[in-house]
Amino acid sequence: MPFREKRAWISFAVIGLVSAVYFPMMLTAYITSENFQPSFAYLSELALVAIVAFIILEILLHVGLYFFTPPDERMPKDERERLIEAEATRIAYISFMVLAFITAILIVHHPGRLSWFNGNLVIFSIALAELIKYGMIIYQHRWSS
Amino acid sequence: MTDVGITNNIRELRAANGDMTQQELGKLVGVTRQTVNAIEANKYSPSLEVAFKIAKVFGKPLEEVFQYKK
Repeated sequence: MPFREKRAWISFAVIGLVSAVYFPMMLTAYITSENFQPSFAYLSELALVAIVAFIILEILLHVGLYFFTPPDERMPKDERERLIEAEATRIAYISFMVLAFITAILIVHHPGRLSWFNGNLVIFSIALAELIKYGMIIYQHRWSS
Repeated sequence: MTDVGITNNIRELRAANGDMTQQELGKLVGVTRQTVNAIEANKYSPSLEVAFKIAKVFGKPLEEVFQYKK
């Protein structure tokens, strides 16, 4: 497996894992709270734990991969890898635009309400875009060569 | 990156040049082994620069290494 594909798998797995835990917990907090107004302190702690977990996992796994990869496999991105990443980013950006647009509509139609939910919708759109990006990179490396 | 109209005979040239590996060729032209594999399988069309570098490694003119088919 190429070095870039391994790196994409790490980021894909970490974002997927953190998102799979964070967003359902956030949604549950909304649904089970009175008037859909969950505790701000709880939501803040949840977000902080998710961010810290994401950063620590990314750093540990990427640094570990770097040191366990032979130097000749760690060469800079070549033209094909740059092209794969550019195409994956383009597709991920489209998904981000769509969700950001939906969020904007929600904010306009419900001003002042659901602010925390809308904020998390933006974070979700970023997470989804990153998952799509790394998923496309993995696909191109795995099935297009 | 799908099948392209450009074909090549890089695999045969590698075999004729002391059984050069994809990794060795990749190192000489500045691309990964996977990219060399993708080029040989006609899954990826290299840039002009890389194409010229590959031809230079084998000491052949460009059109003897890469062929364009409609």
